[in-house]
Amino acid sequence: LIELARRLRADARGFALRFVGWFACLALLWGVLSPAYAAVLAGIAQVTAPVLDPGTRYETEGPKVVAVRPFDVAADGRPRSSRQGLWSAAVTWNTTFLAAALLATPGWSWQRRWRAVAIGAGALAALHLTHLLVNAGFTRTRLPGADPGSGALVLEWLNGFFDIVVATVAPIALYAMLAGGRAGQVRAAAPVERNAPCPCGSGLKYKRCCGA
Amino acid sequence: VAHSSGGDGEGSGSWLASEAAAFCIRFAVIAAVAFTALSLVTDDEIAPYLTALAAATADCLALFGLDVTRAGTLVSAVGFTIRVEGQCSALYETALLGAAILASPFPVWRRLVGIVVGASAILVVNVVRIASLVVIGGLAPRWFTSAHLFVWQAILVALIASFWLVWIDRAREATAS
Repeated sequence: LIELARRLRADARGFALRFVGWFACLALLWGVLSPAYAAVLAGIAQVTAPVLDPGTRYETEGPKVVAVRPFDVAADGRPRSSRQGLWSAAVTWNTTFLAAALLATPGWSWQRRWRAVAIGAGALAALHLTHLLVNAGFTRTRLPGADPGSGALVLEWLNGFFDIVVATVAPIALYAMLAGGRAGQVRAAAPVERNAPCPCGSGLKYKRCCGA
Repeated sequence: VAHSSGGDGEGSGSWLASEAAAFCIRFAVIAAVAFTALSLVTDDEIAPYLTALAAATADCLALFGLDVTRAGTLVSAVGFTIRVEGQCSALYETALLGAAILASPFPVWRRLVGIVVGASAILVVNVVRIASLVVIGGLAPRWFTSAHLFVWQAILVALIASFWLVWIDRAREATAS
């Protein structure tokens, strides 16, 4: 992390500008793609429904995933269903955040950046799906007339955990792992002269950057 | 610290690995305790803080010449009213930064200074955030949700991460010297 901090600090302005630019572009792209992303998550969640959430149909309303659950039968014999919001891609900023930070990281080839973005986005997608399924279990305990059972408290706690901790900590932790871990280090193929440009791509001399 | 600045040696790698693992464990424990404690706090219990936050937001908006009305935790300007609630308090973000700083391996007094400076910075940014949301809500209501839950959340976390990275780099230099 200290190595990562030094690399970013050596090119702080460039990193910040690139991050803001990428974040703005990717946020617009996310606005367009978020309904499709929500539909994919709803589709995967639907596969798990027979086991985890029997009788539930996951649908999308734009970028929102909702659970449609029959919970009662009306006097005329028709089943009554509830629609409970589970998760929304419209307010999910962490994929855009992580991708912008990875694409703005100095000293990486484009192939390496996009590969890191793919790994990070995949990890976040797994977290989003888990959050959606946890919220599905949690909202099920809130159906009218439902018996919450002893698991309701655990599900409520888990839902809060995903709401606050994972949404906030996950992009930073993933960035630190992808950019600050051993695989993210920028290493020279051959010894670098002290006055040569630093191989991390900061634009500074090696002796004033990674060689300090 | 001397090892971390340099090489690829076996000892350096294992030192980094163990230090990183220790940091992660400390961070997870401190953050879990802080978040659990905060989840037990109700809006009523921090009402004075929320009222002060609303007052600071109103003052911030008045600085720009806007006609502001405040009643308790309600702030109105440019035809838009918001209620400053517990989720607007940025206490979770402050706890996140505090956990990251407390878990870092530096002298206690340096960590405390980092927390005080970081928490103050978050407080100021949060006032600007709420003030900007009032203006966005009044002038461009369709962008309010995006600004509130997408852009500003990302900005806050980016600032927290940036502050922490700059702080550990400076703390490392100061400790080494």
